[in-house]
Amino acid sequence: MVVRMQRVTKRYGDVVALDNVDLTIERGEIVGLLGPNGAGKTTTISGVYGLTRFDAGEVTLFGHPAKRIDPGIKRRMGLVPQDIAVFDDLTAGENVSYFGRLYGLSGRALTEGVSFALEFTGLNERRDQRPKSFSGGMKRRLNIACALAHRPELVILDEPTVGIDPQSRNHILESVRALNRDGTTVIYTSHYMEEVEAVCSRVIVMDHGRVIASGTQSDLKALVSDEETIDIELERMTPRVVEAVRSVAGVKECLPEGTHLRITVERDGVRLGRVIEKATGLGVEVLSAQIERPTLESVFLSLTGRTLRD
Amino acid sequence: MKHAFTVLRYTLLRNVRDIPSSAEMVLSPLVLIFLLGTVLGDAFESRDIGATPVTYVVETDGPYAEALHDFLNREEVGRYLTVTESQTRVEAHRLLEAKEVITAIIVGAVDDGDAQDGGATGPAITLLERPGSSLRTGVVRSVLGTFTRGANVSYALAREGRTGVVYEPIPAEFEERTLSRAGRAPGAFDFYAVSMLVLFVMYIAQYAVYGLREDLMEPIGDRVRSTPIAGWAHISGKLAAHVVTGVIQAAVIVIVTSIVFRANWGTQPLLLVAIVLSICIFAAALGGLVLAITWDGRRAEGIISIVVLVSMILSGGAFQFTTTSPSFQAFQRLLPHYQGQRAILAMVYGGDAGAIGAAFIYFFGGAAILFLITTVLARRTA
Ligand SMILES: Nc1ncnc2c1ncn2[C@@H]1O[C@H](COP(=O)(O)OP(=O)(O)O)[C@@H](O)[C@H]1O
Ligand SMILES: [Mg+2]
Repeated sequence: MVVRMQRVTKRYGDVVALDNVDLTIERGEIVGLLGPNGAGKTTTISGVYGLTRFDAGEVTLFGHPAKRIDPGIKRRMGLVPQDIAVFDDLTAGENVSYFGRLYGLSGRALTEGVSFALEFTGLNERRDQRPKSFSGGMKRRLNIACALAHRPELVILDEPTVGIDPQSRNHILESVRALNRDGTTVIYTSHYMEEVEAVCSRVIVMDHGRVIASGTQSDLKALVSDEETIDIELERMTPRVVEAVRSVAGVKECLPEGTHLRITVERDGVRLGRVIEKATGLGVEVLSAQIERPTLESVFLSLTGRTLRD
Repeated sequence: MKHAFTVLRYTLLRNVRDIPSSAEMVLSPLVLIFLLGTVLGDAFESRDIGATPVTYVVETDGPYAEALHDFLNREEVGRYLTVTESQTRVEAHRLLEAKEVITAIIVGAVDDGDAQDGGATGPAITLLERPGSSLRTGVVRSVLGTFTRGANVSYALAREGRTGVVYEPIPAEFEERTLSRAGRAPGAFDFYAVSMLVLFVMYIAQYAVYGLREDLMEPIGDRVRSTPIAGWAHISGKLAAHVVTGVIQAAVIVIVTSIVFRANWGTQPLLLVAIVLSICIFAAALGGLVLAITWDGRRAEGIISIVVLVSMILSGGAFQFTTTSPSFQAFQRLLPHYQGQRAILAMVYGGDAGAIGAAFIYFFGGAAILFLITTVLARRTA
């Protein structure tokens, strides 16, 4: 077992950032920590690192209590913080080398580690350039590279793809999978369910500081297997339409999102035609309609009544 | 240790890359020295005390009058006072009005006849002063005060039955004034070069906060804390880099001021470097502590800029003032600027060597204490 958290609680004043969180991460896993902003993902990670003190609960890392993490344990982990943590006035190579040294590398191990990290993140050609001139995606990649030179056994990435172009995002997702294939245990937090779906072997869903579901993707989807999601796009959105659709028998949840309505219904319990009728009956034209298979998004929706982007 | 050195090395590298802001940092004290030196230069001319011309009239005789006569003609006194004797009050007045002397010392017999039994009450001393030269008459008063105190002791001993007690001035009384010893009195540029150098070096605290803030707080702080480096190693590496940068910048200030303003930095460059280094270390540790207490970079910078400025003013770094309140003097000794200025001035103008030793103890000891508290506080996490 790489990480184990038991009944961990953390408060900031009145805000309960973590509420009795239990989780375990096994060696070789690639675990997604999924939840909307403010769910408690970053607080969870900080706790794993001992960067945050908890009000209650126990954390063990590689079998050792995390209260006093000794340097030997820290060397086995690599943290990619949510906010980009690199020096603008050091080159990409120097940044990676600096943190590599702080992780205890020197000599040949350092040179090789730095090359590996830069190569791995596709920054080798940029090695001697400073991040000032980098695009958002390149900075994110450098942010990852700085946690890799010492070849950690456990890599924790906190929202590594926020605000970047699709190409960099794909590069990062692919790198994370490659890391895992080489045996690295990965914790990947995100509020993008597509990413977690694409990368993770197991998912832990968090909301309001609580773990609300955990398991493989098929486990989670099984949770909602008696449901499906209908997405209809309307010419315009009115409260009366939302009301009317909600009143249809078999509709469990109906959420407006711009001009879209996301409707959770009992599987095979509702005819799509019935829903469309309701809308057109109120004089609102339906532009498109789609029945979706269960996704992590719909899992979240059915567990919390909200979408991840709420 | 290896880790601390890594931090030092990379921080220096970053500071070197950031030459423009380094240059800006050095430029501002230079501009201040220039402005203060020019604007307040006149005020300093009168501080070039030299020897103050005085005249004295002795209208009585007896041991006191004789002793005073001897005293005023001593060689040590000659450094402070150029003394001429007048035969009458009228003559003394004339010298005063002709501006040939600044003060006339009149030693007269006490008028009331009742106390006259062999000089038991002593003669009365009157000082006639030319208006607008209070500083110089201050010198005269202080020299005379030395004499009177000594005379009182002699007198008291004589009353005890000892005879032949001769008044000897106590050298320590004079050392208080050595900073502006005749002929080598510092001008405005000399003085402000010192006080602004100390001010600049104390501002290292500010740069230390800036540097530490970036590295201790989110997001880089999280990354650094996730590495195995020990808190003290990281902080000391960081502070050491700012100390090294500060000493180099101080050297630039010293060189530029001695060339451009002809500021006097004395003849012991190594001792000067050592004093500056000790202040730098103290300032860096102070910055670390304030940040560790507030855990808020902006607040820490604000607090330091006020503390540093107030300490400079209370230490007489912006405009010199003399105070006679013993409690205020004791308070001044606690101020870093006071210690720094006093040590550098003592070094340059050959003053009290004890001032330099005291400053070393103050700065190194203080830095050690501040650093200790800082590392304890910096361990805490949110
Ligand atoms: N330093 C802090 N002070 C006060 N509240 C905080 C602090 N850090 C996090 N929180 C609160 O704790 C909750 C969880 O935050 P966080 O772990 O950052 O969520 P996530 O990473 O999932 O977006 C949020 O409500 C957030 O406002
Ligand atoms: Mg977060």
